[in-house]
Amino acid sequence: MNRLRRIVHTFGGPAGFAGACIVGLLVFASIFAPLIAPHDPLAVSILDKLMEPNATHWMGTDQSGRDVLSRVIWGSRTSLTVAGFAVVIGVTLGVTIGMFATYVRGGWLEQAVMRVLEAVSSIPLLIWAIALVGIFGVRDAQWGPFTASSETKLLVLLGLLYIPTLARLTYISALIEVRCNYVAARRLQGVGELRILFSDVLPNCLSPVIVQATLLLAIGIIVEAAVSFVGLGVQPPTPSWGNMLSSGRNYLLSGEWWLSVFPGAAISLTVVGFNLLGDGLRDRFDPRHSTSMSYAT
Amino acid sequence: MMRPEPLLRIDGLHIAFRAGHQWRDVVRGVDLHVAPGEVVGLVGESGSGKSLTALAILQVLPAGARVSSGRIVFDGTDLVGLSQKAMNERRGRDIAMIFQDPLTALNPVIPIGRQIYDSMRTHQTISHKAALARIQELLELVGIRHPRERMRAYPHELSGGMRQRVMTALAISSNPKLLIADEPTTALDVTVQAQVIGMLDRIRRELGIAVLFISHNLDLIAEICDRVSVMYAGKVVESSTVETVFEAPRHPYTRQLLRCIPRLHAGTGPMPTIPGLPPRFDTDLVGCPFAPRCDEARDLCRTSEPPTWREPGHLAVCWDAT
Repeated sequence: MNRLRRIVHTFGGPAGFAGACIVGLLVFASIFAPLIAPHDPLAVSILDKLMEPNATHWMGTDQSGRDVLSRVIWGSRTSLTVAGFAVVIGVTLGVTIGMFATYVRGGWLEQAVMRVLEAVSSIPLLIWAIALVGIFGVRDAQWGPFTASSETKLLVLLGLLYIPTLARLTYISALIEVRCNYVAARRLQGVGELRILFSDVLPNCLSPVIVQATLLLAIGIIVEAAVSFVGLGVQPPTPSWGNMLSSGRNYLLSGEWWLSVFPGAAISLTVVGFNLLGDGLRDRFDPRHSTSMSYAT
Repeated sequence: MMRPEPLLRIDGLHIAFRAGHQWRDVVRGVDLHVAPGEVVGLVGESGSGKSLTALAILQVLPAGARVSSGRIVFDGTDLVGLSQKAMNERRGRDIAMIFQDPLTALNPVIPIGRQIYDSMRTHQTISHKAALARIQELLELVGIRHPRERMRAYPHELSGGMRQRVMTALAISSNPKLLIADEPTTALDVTVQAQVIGMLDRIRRELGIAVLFISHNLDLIAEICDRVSVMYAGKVVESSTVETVFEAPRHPYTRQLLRCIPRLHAGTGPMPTIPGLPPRFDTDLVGCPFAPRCDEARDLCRTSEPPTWREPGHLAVCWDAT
C-alpha cells in the first residue's frame, strides 16, 4: 500500500497517476499493436462494410469493411510516433538553442536568436503546420537515398515548430540559474563556462521542460489529427485517428456514428491522459504547489 | 631570521568601479601577504573592500569592476591580467574559496558526493574507485559522520552547518595551497559557528593550507588567525599579529572596533558603537577617511592624508600611530 502511494505521489497525485495509466496503456497498445489488434487494419472486405459494432467487430467496420477497433489501435501507433518523435526533436534542439542563447548572453547573438524564436512563436502552431505542409506537399519526398513519408515530414515539421517554446523555457530558467551561487562556486573551481552550463545549470532547468514536453505531446496528437483531418497529414491507407475522423465525417449524418466516435474518443482520452500527467508532473516539480511540500524539508 | 617567501603577496591593489564615464577606486591600495600555512584575517565593515580583494585574487570581479593598478603575486606569478585559461588552472587547484552562504553554493539537484567528484575531476585524473575513497576521506575530515551514506544526499537534506562542511570538503578536494574563506560562518547559528571554525582550524593544521579569513567578527579572527589586517574604506589601516592588534592597537579604528565587541561582564548600558558611516565612494576623500568618525581626530587628520607607520611586523596608517 505504501509503495502504491509513493508511485501515485511520483506523478503528483491521483490525477497525474490516472494520466500516467492512460498514457501507459496507449504506449502498450501502440507497441504491441500487431498482437492486440483482432484484425488486419488494412484488410478491405466490401461485403462487411459499415457494420455496426458487434461481437466480431467491437467498434464496427468502415466504408471499406476494415475493422475500426484494429485501425484505432494501429492509429495510436501513428499518433504516438508523430507526437513522440516531434517532442524528442523539439526538446533536443530547443534545449540546445536555449542553452546556447544563455551562453552568448549579453551579446547581439543572444538578441538575434531570441527575437527570431519570438517571431516564430507569434503565429499559432496549427497555422504554421498547415502552411508548411501546404508548401512541402503531402507526397513522399525523396532526398538522395532518404525517403520521407508524410508522417516523417509531419513529425520533423512539428518538432521544429516546438523549438521556440522549449528554447525560450530553457533560456528563461537558465538565465535565473546562472545567477545562483553554486554557478559562481563552480567558476571558482576553475570550471569552464560551457561545462558549467551543461553539467550544472541544465539539470536545474529540466523540470519545467519535462512538464512542457508532456503537454506538447498532447498538442502533437491534436495537431497530427487536425492536419490529417484536412487531408494534409498522414495519408490513407495508413490509419491515423485524424484521417479516420475525416472519412467518418461523411457518414455521421447517415447514422454510422461509430466511424467517428471511436477515433474521436481515442484522441480525447489521449489528450486528457497527457494533460493530467503533465499537470501532475508540474505539481510534483513546482515547490510552490502544496503536493510537493513533503519534498521541501 | 629570513622570512619565508610569501605564498600570496598583494602590492598596492586598486580596484575601480565604473561610475558613468569614469572609474572610481573602491579598493585604494591594499598591501597584504600570506605565507605558506599561515592564517591571515581580513576585518572590516561592509563595503570596506575585503570581499572585493578576495574576488580580485581569483580574478572574478563583478561586471563593471576591474583591477586598476597593483599586483597580486601568487606562487611567483602575477595573477592580474592572466588569461582566463591560465587562471582556470589555478582556480580550485591552487586557490579555493568558501562562501558566506552555504545554502545556495551547492547545486540543488546533484548529490553532494557527485559534486565533490566533479570538482576533483576538474583538475586531477583520478580513477573512479580512488575518487570514491577520497570523497569519503574528505567528508570524514570535515567532520561528517557516515560519509558513505551522506555522499548520496542532496544539499537540501543537510543542515546549514553540514553544507558549510561539504563546501569546505569541496574546496580542499584538490589540495589547494590557499583557501579563501569569505565570512564562512555568518549565515550559521552561533553554536554551529564555533564547530565550523574548529573544523577549519583543524584541517588547515592537518593539511598545512594557508587561509585568508575574511570576517567582520573579531572574536572569530582572534580564535583562528595568526595575523590580521584591518580594512577601512578600501585600505588596510592596521596590520600585525593577532596578539599585537588585540593588545596594543595603534589605529583608533581598531581600538574602537575592539571596544564594540560585546563583553559578558561589561555591565548594563548601551552597547558601544562607532557613530557615522564609512565614506561613500563617489565622494573625493581629503585627509584620513576615518577622521569624521574618529574620537581622536585632530585638524591635521582632516586636511592631509596620514603617513604609514611601520615597525617590524606592525603597520598602521595614522598620524598618531607613533
